[in-house]
Amino acid sequence: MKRLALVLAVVAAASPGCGEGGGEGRLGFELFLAKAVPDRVGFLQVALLTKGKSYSCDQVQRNCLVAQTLTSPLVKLTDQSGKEHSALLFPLELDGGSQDLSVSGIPVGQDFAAVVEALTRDSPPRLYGSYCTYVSQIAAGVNESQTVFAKLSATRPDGGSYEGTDGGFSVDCDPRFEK
Amino acid sequence: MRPGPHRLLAGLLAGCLAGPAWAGVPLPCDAPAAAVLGQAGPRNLAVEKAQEQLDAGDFDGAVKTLQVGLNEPDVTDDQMVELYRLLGLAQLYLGNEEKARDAFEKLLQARPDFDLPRSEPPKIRALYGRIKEDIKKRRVRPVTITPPSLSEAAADQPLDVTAKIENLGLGAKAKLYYRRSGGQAFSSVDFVRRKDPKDEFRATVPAYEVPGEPRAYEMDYYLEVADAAQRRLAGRGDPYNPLTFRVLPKEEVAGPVVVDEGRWYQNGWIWTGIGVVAAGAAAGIVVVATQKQTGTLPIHVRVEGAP
Repeated sequence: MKRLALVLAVVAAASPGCGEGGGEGRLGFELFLAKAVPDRVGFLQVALLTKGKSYSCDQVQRNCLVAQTLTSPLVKLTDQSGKEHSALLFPLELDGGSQDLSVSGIPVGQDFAAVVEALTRDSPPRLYGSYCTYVSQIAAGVNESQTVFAKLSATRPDGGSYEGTDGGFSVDCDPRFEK
Repeated sequence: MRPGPHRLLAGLLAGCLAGPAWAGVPLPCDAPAAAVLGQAGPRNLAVEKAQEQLDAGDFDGAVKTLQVGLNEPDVTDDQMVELYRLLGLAQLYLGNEEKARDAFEKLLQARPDFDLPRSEPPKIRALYGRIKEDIKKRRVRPVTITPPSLSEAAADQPLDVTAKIENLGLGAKAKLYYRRSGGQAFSSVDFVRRKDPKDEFRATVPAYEVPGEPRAYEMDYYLEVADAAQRRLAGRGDPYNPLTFRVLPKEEVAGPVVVDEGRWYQNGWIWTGIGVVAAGAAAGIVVVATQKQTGTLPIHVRVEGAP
């Protein structure tokens, strides 16, 4: 079976940054997509869970976050218009092979789990893959990256993790919090 | 392909392929019984089923079974070697020498010192010998991991684990898996290549994963390099035979310092300093209380190969 790799290398924003200048070009998350992925994925959805340590990221990645019973509240994230949401949805609009997203207005604090879900272009969208990582701290300003990389794998319908896909896999759930 | 020779070959190999009933550990047919017992590991259903299919001459079915088996999570080193060995054999019987070669290369990447038993048919041994020769000439370079010397770790501190990983192929990733000893699931962090030296990688276990406790405790861990399809290429330890390190107990808070030179509270400058600090702190609290502190998490998305 020909496999097309979907690799999202994610840098967890765990180190505190000081003010807007703290980033110095280093980013909270850096995602690498295989060439074939943009054809299949239409949106990335970002959510932050409080009490991140209480979750098993392996489990979280297996299904749509919205379909899971959460033991702690989601952090309310604000969009560009200042409206609060349980998760932010970003259309995948690559310009020259890259795209910058920004999740701002996150209340500073400790012990989060960040979940990035890749949504298919279907209508309604389905979960193509999910990545979850622990974020020990969100500091004020732009958060610098901690050099901890991980992969987002396409999620198998049986709940397992699958690195790379022939394009046929997705989980039968609509990941959106606001439908 | 005519079925006759296939079945003959399968028959010749039957004793070897159908050897250990538990099928979890690859061993040459002529391995002593004691070695078999000593290395018994968890069963792998894909290996067992593929062996049966090979015995029955169903080579296509065996290939499918083995590919599914290789995609399963938590495949141990021993199981992976066996899966690739059988895959190589099945592909060879199907006349797919290139695919057989690919399977044997993967096997050798994972276990560079692996040798086929002498009872294997000469054609298979010859191919295997050629591939090994290629590796010696560095045409196929096995992934090698030099694990860190990790025996103890400080509590409540991020734990940096540095390993030397050579010949990490395109698309392959190295991960550090860890859990508290006795726990069920492993968490993982990825190894990141350091700028210098380039074959040095570092993974960081967050501080909250090694919390300080009054007594020391053990953590299990293992290192794994997997290809883009999550197939293990190399590793140190595995989920069933993890390595361990010890998290040191939380240090006792130092006892009260005895001030035996004069009476500090009689010094007016100290009270002045305290007053200034208190005023500053109060002002700071007012500022903080009236401002909602928020952070920003930038995300940069990039397609592989894009500038």
